[in-house]
Amino acid sequence: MTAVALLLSPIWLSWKNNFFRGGSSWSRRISLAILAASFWIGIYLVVRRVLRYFETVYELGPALAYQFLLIILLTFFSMLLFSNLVAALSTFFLARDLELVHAAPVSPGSFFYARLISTTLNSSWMVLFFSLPIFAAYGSVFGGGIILYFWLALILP
Amino acid sequence: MIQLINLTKHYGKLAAVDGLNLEVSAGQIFGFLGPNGAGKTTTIRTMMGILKPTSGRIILGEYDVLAEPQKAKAISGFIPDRPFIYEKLSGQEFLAFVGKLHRLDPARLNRRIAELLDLLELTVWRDELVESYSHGMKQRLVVCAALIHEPRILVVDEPMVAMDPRGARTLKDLFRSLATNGVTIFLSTHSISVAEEICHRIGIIHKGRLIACGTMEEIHSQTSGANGNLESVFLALIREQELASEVIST
Repeated sequence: MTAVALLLSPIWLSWKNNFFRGGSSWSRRISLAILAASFWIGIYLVVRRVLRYFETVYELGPALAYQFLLIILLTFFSMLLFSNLVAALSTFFLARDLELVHAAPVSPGSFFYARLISTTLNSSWMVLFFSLPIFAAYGSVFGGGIILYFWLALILP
Repeated sequence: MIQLINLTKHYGKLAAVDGLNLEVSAGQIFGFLGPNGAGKTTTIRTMMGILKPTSGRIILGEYDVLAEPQKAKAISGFIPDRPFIYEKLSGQEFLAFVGKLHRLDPARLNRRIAELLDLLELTVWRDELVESYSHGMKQRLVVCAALIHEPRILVVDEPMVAMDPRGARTLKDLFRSLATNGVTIFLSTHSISVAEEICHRIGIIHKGRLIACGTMEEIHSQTSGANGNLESVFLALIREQELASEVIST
């Protein structure tokens, strides 16, 4: 486990250095954060409005909301499958640091798990992040309550 | 000590390395020469366990690279021809990462980082991000990383590429001093002058086969018509091999 954490350390160290010592200005970062937050809130409002409309459709409403959720999950699944495959090829076989890591006494298991974690994080974080407002909208419309977020935290990763 | 026993590496039908046999004793600097595409880098990558050989054995120290790769790598340092450094890490962070991969304890790691940065004149840059380093500085940092765990064997691929004369001189002196302290150095290079200057023994590889191996005097005695320096001997040997393969094909 220590070796896996060590192999992942350049990623978070690079992120930390880029954040605190990188060239991009704070105004640019704040603009990007505002843009992401607007997008996140926009998704939430649109999905909530669509679900509210479904609720008004006599008898078919719950089925429509259910089918809509299935389509969203299927879309996410396909996107994640494809992006994970592409990212895995790149991190396992084409990464520029392969020579450096392979020349060191690192066990194949540690190497595999470190690459697996970095592949999963790199290719999935954005889908996960932008799926949250959709699930939050479902929670809000159907009264999911706090338990919904508990299950989401358990199931989504 | 380095031993390559009948080492072969095929890419499909192409034999990049073909039945290579050689031995380098402890404390020796072995120069590995050859034209482009001769199989130098493939040999080195199989030695470091980055590529799996098609057949044959590689012994580093007392460890077989295929059977005990982690033990073999623990006693070896590697300086690749196109080294990679994480650009967003500082020099100190990069060396600490490599040192931890080699399981150095914190006290020894800090001591080695300070020693090596001082030796290769990078101390003032230790906290700067690698992206701000010049090409020569990056190469010196890679040398630091390869030596961080005090390896008994050092495998070097084209060490002087784009290095300024002062950096090249420092590196040559460093290799000599390491060899004096018992480190075995396997040095692949295009630069005949470097091989002539610092290597105790030289091997010449052509089309995956070792066509000459020995001290300068021994290699001179293997060629007819080549006068004086290693360059003319090298060219004569390559020409002889090409003529021989032309005769065989006709």
